[in-house]
Amino acid sequence: MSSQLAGAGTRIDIQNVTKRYAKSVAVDDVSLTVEPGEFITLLGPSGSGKTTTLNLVAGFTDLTSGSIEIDGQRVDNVPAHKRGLGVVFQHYALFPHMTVAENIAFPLQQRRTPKAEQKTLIEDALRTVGLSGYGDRYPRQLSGGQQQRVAFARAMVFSPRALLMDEPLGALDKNLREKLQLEIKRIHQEVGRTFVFVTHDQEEALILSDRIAIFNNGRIEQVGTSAELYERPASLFVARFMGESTVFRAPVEAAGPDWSMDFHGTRLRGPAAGQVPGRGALVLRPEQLRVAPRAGDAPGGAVKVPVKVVQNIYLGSGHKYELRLPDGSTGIVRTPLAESNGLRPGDDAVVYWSDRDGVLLEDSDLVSTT
Amino acid sequence: MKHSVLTRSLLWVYAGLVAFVLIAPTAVVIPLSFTDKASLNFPPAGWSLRWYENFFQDPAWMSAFGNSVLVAVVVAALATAVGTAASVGLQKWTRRRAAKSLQALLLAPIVVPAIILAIGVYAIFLQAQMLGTFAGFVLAHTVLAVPFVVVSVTAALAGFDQRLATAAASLGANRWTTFLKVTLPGILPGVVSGALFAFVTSFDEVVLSIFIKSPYLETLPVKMYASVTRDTDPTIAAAATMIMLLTTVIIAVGLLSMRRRKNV
Amino acid sequence: MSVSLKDPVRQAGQARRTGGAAAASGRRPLRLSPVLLLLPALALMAGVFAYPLAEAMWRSVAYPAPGPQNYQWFAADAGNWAVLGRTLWVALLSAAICLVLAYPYAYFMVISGPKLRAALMVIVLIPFWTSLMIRSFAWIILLQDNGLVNGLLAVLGLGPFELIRNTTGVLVGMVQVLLPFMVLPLYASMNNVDLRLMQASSSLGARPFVSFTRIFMPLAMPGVVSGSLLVFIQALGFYITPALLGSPAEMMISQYIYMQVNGQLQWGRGSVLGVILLVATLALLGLLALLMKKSKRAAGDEGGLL
Repeated sequence: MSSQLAGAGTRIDIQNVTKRYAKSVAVDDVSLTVEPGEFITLLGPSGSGKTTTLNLVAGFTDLTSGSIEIDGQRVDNVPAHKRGLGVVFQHYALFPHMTVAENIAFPLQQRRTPKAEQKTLIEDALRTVGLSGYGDRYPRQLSGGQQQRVAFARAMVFSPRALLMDEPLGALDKNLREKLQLEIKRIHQEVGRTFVFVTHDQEEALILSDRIAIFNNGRIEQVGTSAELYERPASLFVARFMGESTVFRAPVEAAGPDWSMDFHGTRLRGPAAGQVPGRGALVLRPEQLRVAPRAGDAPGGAVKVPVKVVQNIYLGSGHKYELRLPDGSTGIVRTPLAESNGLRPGDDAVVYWSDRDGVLLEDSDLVSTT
Repeated sequence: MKHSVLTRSLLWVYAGLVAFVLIAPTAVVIPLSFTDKASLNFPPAGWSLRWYENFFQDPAWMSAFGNSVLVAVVVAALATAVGTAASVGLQKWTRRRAAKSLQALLLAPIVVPAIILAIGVYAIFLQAQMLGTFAGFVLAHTVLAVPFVVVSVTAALAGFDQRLATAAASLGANRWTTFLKVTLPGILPGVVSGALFAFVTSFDEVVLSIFIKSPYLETLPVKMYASVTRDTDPTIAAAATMIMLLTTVIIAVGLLSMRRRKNV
Repeated sequence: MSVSLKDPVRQAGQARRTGGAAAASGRRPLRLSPVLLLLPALALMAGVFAYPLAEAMWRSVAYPAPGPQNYQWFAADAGNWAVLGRTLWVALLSAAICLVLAYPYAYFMVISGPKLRAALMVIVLIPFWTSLMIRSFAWIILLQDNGLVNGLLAVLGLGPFELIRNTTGVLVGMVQVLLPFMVLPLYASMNNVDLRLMQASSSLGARPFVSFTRIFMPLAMPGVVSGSLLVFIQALGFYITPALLGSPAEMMISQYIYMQVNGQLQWGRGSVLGVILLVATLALLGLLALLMKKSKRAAGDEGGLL
């Protein structure tokens, strides 16, 4: 379709990068390789270092130590205007004194693209973002969503080696955000370039990304596909950040090929995958859990924990239960509609699961919830 | 945005020079007032207090100084009262367009060149035999001072939560009580700075004053102006130093009193 | 003139009438109290501002005898045009020099940290509370034939130059006095420029110089225009500084007015000059207001849709 904008992807190598400010460390020894043509998302809460990392790649901030390479070339001493990366900002950053067409022409003028070619490229870019015919408008005459599309067009028109996006949808309302997410995904598939996307919205990350890098406290906790992060979180932080989970926390001991823990009088167990942590946190996803009124209703081999029902929410496709665990923390269970069991708030019940399910992690929380 | 060290240093040096041009020239007046010679040469060769002595012993300088202070105090009081009332009136005026043009009228004396107003006032005072009168000085200076009061009180009113006044009214306070007990304390910083501006405006006024003075009544800036154009006597440097000191003290006191209010 | 004296009364009457109309159309009626509150100020403005101005303008066609002879005198005398031309030229130069001095200063304020910025701001504001008289007097001391500036130039083997009692002296004094009026609007305008746009610009491949000239400068333009006009307008009507630092041979219009009225008792001629100065000032102020309105509209997000 938009053949002019399509091109091969670029590899970005971030190696042991640290950014230290006078009183704080914004990025702490981060390493990440972005594969050519990949859509990678830097995901994390605010202040976790994801935006700083993006700014280091873009060249807006100087790094304290480490190196950044683009296609094997070191760029950490190259000024931003020579890095050839397209950047889309949360605040659009369109030049208010220029029309849409002038905004998009700006990067082409810097590269001394011939006038005639500029014209086709601009039209091409506007068509890609669905804004053909808007070239003569000023940014202030456009809605937020349209402005962000122009910002995309401007960042892509000069065929950048990669496209960096810093919460580009953060300023938009929910409906528009969802619509533009699909468009960004479509554009990525069309142009086949490397995209680096920053967000704090895990749902957005799941929809868009090939891989996700989870940031916390200036470090990367884990990099992986959505499925990897959801099914095999490497830390309690990742498990909690990516989707809902129920966490059983207790000291762990090894028992042959298995591990086991005493969770408030109930023995929990599972196969040990490697080193068994001292203080354990067993993480189970809502779909892996079932809930029944009595212990006898659960299959024989299952692990069972007595709970109290706090909420039973009917969702159409099934039920979502909110449970109180023996240690006072909250458990979340989702069951298909076929397994309705008539539990009501206040009822005693049993939550159970197969001992092959769940991920045992090191309990990194300093403060216990009990 | 990143700036290279070179750009930053160049800007530092340039801004330093501009800052020097802005404040340094005035500073030469202070050492000059302590010279021991009857010349305006700078830097002075020796030091003495004789020009201060001269200032305080010369009845012409002293009366000009007294007149200036007296006129400025009355102008500050009058302009603050008139200007504050006008600002409150403007705010209460429900037709915003009309209020806007009235405000423009009240601010006009700032933008009209003083020399034009000066010849007009001179013409009228001449007819009314008000040249060289205390009332004449007060009226002329007040017109120039009111705009500053209006500007600062209007700004304070804009920042004042009008619902407080409504609340007071709903609690049974009449309009006057509401103003005195609720609105006025709320906008006091604006009123105080307006009064300070009014005082300084009057105290520094030269152009109108040159026209409306008489041999019997003149203000300090008028006397200084005459002194600069006629004789080369460092007494004027002593006078200038004292004016600077006085205005600085007044402004500092004003700022401090406002800061203290804020802390309470 | 008697008309202008009646102004407040008329205003009050008008207000009462419109108040009635507002009540009839269901809006909150205008109470009498705002009018009463404004009355003293309006009376003062009418009596000591509007009336004297009207009198001054009236005299241009009425003194010494009714008729246009004062305007004819102005048009016929080349010396008058020279004064007007010099005034415009000095005002223009003052604005230009102020701009050159203030632009980097204001830019430095924008990119500085909060503490340095506050210090730079105080330095700009200090001259506001030192009287114009004193500052002009200070320049006399510095620029006189055996003054500090000539002394320093002599060390460099230059001079002595005639720095005072001519247009050079007037320019130096005026620039120093008017500089804050350039810095403040410039700073306000530059501070409104979203510096993140410069980041965006560099990410699009623009060198710092290009980002500055093509993004920053156009966006800071409103400050340049309003600062320049503000300085120009004030420079036109300056009296004290030219009177103290200039020379009678190179008069500006304010000095000329003073000379006509106070020295030669030529009320009519002085008034004509006053009218010309007033018209020029008001026209430029109108232009300034128009430009500010326009740039405000351009800057407003929703303004463009209206």
